[in-house]
Amino acid sequence: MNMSELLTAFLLIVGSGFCMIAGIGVLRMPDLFTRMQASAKAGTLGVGCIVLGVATNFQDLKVAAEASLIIAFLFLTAPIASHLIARAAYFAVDTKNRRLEHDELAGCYDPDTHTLASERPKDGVWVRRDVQEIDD
Amino acid sequence: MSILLISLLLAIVWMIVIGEFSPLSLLLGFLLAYTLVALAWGGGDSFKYFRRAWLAVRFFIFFIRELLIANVRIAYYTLSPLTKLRPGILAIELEEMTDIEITVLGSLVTLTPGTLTLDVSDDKRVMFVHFMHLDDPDRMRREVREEFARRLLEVMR
Repeated sequence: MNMSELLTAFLLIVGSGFCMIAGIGVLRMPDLFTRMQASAKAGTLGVGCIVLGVATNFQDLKVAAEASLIIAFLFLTAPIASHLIARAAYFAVDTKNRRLEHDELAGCYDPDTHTLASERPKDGVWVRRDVQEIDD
Repeated sequence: MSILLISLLLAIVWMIVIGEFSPLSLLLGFLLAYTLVALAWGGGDSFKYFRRAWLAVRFFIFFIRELLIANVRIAYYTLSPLTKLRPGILAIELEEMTDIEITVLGSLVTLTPGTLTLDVSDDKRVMFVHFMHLDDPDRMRREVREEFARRLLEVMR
């Protein structure tokens, strides 16, 4: 067994280990946010390690180029997807179904337009900037 | 940025000229082109370019390290009793940043396990980040602002 085989084996084992932990995390975590954390993150590193392992196994420029493209797009798209899912979940998931022991985002969203202020409005009144009143 | 592209293109030209397509020849060509372009660019500017490339490499190493540490931490949380877990959302103030800088920062924060960028306020002054385990809000806030944002801006500006 030479060096590159050892490296391949190591990367594949570490990668699948992280994927397994991601799976356990999805099962065990208390709410959607923490579940997403467990699955998305451990998953990206896990898949990244496995793809790297494939690249070291074949030691071919074409495979390596494809592998680095896979990793690049994985790292490019995963954060955007998590941001959108988490944001949607913040509106959609019932307060009792999520476990947040500290929430500085509470009250910052305008309940109607979903625009986000940088801090909670002090008097509890929202300033509408881009929404026009519609008379009927 | 354009210097980097020029170096890359020259490296590809180099591979065509010597007729050998391998990672090693790409690297050699890139190093040659990089040095030549940086020297030819002239004066203080090339110095800045060198420094920036070095900062980018350092940032990459820093980020990979964070990624590994945080993944091990998440693995620990996942496998230990969940009653100890204290998830929460923090508001993290940003300094003046352009849209692309905020996007990159948000993506890096999301990629680092344990933290997830939820949203950025409409005036771009505050980023809301979900933490899987919030044991010390002030330390965490400082970590994102000083470790991530400062290092990233060093590279991007």
